[in-house]
Amino acid sequence: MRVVIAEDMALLRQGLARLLTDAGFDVVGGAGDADELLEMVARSEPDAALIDIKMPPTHTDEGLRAAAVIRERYPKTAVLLLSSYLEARYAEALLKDHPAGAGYLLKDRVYDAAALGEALRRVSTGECVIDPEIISQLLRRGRERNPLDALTEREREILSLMAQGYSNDSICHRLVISRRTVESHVSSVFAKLGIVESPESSRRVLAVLAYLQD
Amino acid sequence: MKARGRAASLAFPAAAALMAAAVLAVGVPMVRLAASYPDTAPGGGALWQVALQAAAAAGAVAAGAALAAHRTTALCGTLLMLAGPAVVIAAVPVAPARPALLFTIALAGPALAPALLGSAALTCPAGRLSNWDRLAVAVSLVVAGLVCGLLPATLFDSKASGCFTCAANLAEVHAAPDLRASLIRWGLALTIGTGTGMAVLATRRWLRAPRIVRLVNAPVAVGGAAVALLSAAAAGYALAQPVPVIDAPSRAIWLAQCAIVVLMAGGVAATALRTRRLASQIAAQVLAATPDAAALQHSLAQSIDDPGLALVFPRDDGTVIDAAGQPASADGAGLAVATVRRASRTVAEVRYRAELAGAEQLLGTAVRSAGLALEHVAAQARLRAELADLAASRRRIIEDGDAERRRLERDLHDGAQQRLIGLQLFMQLAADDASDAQAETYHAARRIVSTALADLRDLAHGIHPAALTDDGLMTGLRTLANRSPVPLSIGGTGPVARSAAAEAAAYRLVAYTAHTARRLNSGPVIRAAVDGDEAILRVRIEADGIGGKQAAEIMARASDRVAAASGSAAVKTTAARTTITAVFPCAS
Repeated sequence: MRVVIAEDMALLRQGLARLLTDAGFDVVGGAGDADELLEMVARSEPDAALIDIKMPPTHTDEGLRAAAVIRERYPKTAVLLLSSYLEARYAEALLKDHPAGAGYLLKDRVYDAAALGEALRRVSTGECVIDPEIISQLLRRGRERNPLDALTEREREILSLMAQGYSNDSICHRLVISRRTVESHVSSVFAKLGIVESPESSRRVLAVLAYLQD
Repeated sequence: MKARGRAASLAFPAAAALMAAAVLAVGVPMVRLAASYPDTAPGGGALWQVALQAAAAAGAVAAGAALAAHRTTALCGTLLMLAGPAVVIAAVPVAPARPALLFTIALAGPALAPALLGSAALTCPAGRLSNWDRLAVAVSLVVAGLVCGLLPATLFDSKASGCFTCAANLAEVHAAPDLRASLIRWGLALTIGTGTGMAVLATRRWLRAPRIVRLVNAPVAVGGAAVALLSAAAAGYALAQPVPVIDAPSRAIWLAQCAIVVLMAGGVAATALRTRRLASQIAAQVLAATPDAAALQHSLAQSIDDPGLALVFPRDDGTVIDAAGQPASADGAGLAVATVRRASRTVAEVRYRAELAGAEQLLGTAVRSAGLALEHVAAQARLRAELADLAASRRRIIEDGDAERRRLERDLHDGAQQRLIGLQLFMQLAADDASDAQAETYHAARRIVSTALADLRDLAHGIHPAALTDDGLMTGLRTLANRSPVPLSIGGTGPVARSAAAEAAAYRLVAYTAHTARRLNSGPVIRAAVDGDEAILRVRIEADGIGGKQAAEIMARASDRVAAASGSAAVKTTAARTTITAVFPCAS
């Protein structure tokens, strides 16, 4: 799987390249800013781009905007954004327009080759990815009347995975249960929470996110 | 009360008119008779004597009417008004008087005037009359009206007493000259007592009144007491004669009494004038205390007919402000400037059209008469400017603080946090390369770095909420809600106009409420709603389980922020719910 890395801190970029290479990825390039990244994507059309949100010159949301451009122009290249903000707002901004093949991972997680690798593989297959820490924060937050209490342990797990962007197939594999069981759990969760079920897993993420933040 | 007031206001002029008519009705024949029979006239018939008595009568009516118009001095004023006709009656010569009614009145009524004046003196200071005072008034009037007047008159027969030119006595019941003579002597003796008594009682009551009451009532109280005392003297003198006669001493005493009444009326008039002057002075002070800058500027503009005239006030730092405390343009190019100075300090500058420089004199007069009002307006303008300076300074302090915190938060994110992420990654890479034993050490170190990263993230968010400044109030609040262990829901349509100061203040208000709620175990629930329009941003926070004490803490923390954003906040706590509403202007 061919990957490009956009990260302005050179040492970190090299570390990431080594980690991913060790994990079996083909790192085809490393960019220090958004322009370099877009050039690299145009040239090599990789399967995925790992992008830091804050990059020169302004260190605000260059990565986010570059990711949107990539999803627009190079649909074959999935994007995985990295940020050290434990906040849903970047994920929402990204997924609102490009719900498939995009993800948002907490930058703290990049040492974890397994987690990073899985996220990259998932976005490249068209799923979306939201950092599990963000979802668990949303599940933990105080609620006046908490409908989540009505869920079983397994249903809660399923809800968390749906919010992280897992499709039903991915959930089957992850939990090692049958597809039919997953579907019945999903229907049960939606019924209990009163969310209108969306057939597409990536649209489903936005609905669940909105629900959890309401 | 109102109807009574109207009736009273009609009754007093009517009574005063009646008394004036009575004075005229008796006074005109009195003047004629006194001129014809000067020897038998108690006050004499010379022009000055007649004039003095007429003045006393008129003065008593006028002063009485003035006093009777006020509720507290109504009785005193009424007695004084009645004394007017009584003075004229006392002045009527008895002997050859005609017609019969006038003769009879002159016969029966000469002692009434001093008694009425004495009673007026006793009753004039406001306040309750003692029973002794009432008794004294009644006794003195009975002695004067009955014992000295009506009763002897019933025993008098004109013809029988040898006065063939006299008119018939209409009051005659039975002619008894001896009884009448002794009754008159008794009356005189009693008058010595009542006159002295009234003078003493009136003086005592007057002296016991507060200073300002003494001052206001001095004319009537002192004058009336003097008249009463003189009536006792006159009675004593008459009693000392074998038969009461009209001679020089008795005439002098009577004229002195009349003179005192004239002085008394003058005193009442002076007091009324003084009160009125004081009132107008106070009114002027009141006007000067709350002068309207716009009205003042308008008046000055009118004085030289320049509608563009501007009143500006230089401050100590050299800047120039208008009446609202706002900066005015520093140079009055093409304008004439009149400087108003007070004690070597420039109070104000009047800027007006240069062509009108010839009209300076007019402006000077207007400025001088503006006097205190101008100084007041100037002081107010400077105070407003200082308040605006203070508000701006507070806003700057808060804004500078926010900018600094934001910079710190970014530094932590872009600097320390990135390096820790790098450290964490390289530790992992080192662990991958190392032997199992070493790998375990690297993993342990990597976990410490992970914890430090999480701590650092919380710290950075606590220092400054990036979501608020990056994506606005609603995203900031939702991020706050996502992190909040206390149920916090965010509603409303959100702000319409963007204003960083208003949004920052609104955010803090909600954040402080959430932070305060976190400490409580009352199961608090917070609902915040934000809406607004082009001009304002409105926040409404309903917090269940937050009491008055915590609400006060929240407001104390937020008050500077609210004020710095020129907003206003109100808090209401009922039972276990606190509602905070705040409004912020959005004009940038």
